[in-house]
Amino acid sequence: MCCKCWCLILLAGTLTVLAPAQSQAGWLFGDSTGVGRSGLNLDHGYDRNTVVTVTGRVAAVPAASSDPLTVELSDGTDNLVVVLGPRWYLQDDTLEWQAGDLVTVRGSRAQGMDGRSYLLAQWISTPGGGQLVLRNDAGRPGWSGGRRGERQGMGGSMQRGSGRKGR
Amino acid sequence: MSAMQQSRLQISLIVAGLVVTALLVWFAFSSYRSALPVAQVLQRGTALALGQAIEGLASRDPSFKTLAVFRTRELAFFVLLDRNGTIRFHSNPDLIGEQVGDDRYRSVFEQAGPQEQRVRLRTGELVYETHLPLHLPGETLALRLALHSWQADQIIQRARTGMALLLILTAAAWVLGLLALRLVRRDALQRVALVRSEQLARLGELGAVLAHEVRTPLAGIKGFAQLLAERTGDQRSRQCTDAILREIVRLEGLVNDLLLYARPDGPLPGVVDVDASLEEAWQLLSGEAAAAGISFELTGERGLTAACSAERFGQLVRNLLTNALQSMAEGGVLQVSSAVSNDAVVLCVADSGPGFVQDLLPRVFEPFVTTKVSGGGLGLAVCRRIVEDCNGSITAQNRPSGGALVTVRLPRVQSGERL
Repeated sequence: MCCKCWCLILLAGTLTVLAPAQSQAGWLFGDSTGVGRSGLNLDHGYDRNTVVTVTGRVAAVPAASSDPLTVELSDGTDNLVVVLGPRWYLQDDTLEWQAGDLVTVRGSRAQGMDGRSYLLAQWISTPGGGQLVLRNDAGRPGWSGGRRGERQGMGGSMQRGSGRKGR
Repeated sequence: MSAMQQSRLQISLIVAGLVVTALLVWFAFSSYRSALPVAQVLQRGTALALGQAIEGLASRDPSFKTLAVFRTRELAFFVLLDRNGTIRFHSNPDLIGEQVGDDRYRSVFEQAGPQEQRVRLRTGELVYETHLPLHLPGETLALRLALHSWQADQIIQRARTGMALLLILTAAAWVLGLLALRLVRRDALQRVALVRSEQLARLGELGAVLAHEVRTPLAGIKGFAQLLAERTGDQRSRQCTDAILREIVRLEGLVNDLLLYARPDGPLPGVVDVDASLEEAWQLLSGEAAAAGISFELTGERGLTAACSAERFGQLVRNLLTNALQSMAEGGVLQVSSAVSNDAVVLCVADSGPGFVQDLLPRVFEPFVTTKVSGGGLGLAVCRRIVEDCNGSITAQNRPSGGALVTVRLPRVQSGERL
């Protein structure tokens, strides 16, 4: 067998062995959800057990190309990636946070497989004093099960307007 | 270092490599396995420490207000449950008073010992969950603790990556080692070829000398000896001239073989009828064979044609048959078989003589290697030369049932095909 064949076999073996080692970590030989680098279900994941309300300052505004849209928040001791929702769902909103803005956000907290803390937001305060509501109290996201703007029919907790940031 | 010593050294190195590899694999795997209990102990220890802290706070403040601000980085959430599964306290206050939807907490009240497991939350995160008894004044509650497991997972992941790297480096070392071994073998073969080439060059020079300085006078001596043999009437003188002629013929054969071996022919084009050449060679040698009590058996496929010069193939077959006949002084059976294997004509010449001397077996195709008193040691060397010039191969071995077996492989030519 030629040298090139040996090198290809070695490379394939390396990728086969190292790729899972990088993307998975867990007892009983790791887990394999494979939802991005965080391993979290950022679109529809939400657990009421881990719901917290956090107040902190914006450390990084939503990136132009990121999907889902995220805001990085610092609460003084820790940095938190606040996951707002899919880009298509928020494309008509003006997300005008600036670095250093004081923001309050409520959502389900989780730690990703990349070691970072994530907050899957239920609602987040806006600089104008309003509130951008993204999920109902049960955690069902506004982008779940229909087109944007459709009512969710599950308790009517998608609050907009009336002193809050509406759509 | 001889070829056998080299072969033994290589085998020893490979065995040592296998032993080292086995040790490395064992070490890597055992390190990886030991990371699992380390991670579990880390989580268990954290859970116990947090449980004690929560118990202390809850004991001092039965309203649980101080628990509401209890936060640590490791804690995903925690819950206090009574026997009915009612949430008496939750790190998410909205859930206080609700019922839990499972009975995993019951192990605390059934005194089944601590229960720990991995649970996937609806966020997709896999957390470490344990249930501990919380002894408060007047009642016992179940504390459900869910801890982030990233740090523990990191221990396992690093152990796993370390194991993978070690295995890959071992595999890379094997690949490099095998490549080096291959290069060493190739180098050894090239050195052998170079030595043989030099040997052939020297033999070529010797052949030229023989052709001019020995062959010509030998022809003159032979002529005079034949003349003497015809003219003498004395029985004693006749015996002497016959002996002179026999030795001259032997010397002529030796010189011819040497010239044949040393001649730089290069590739030998042509197509040879294998059966015809075998029969012709046997016709020439049948008298000698009959005198020695040797029978001839020709088996296998017939009508085969091989890519080789007919003249040189004839020389090859004569040498092989002669060699076999000479080894059967007590008589016996000379078996020749022909077959086709992978587009090659395979010719096997087997005798029922004593076989090759085992120590000389690797060198039987080298010139001047012989155990015969009267032999020049060029017969099989010439055979190899012819076969290699025809892009074939030749091997020699001793048969388990006794006797020698020489196998010749030559490129096959389909009938009608011309080179």
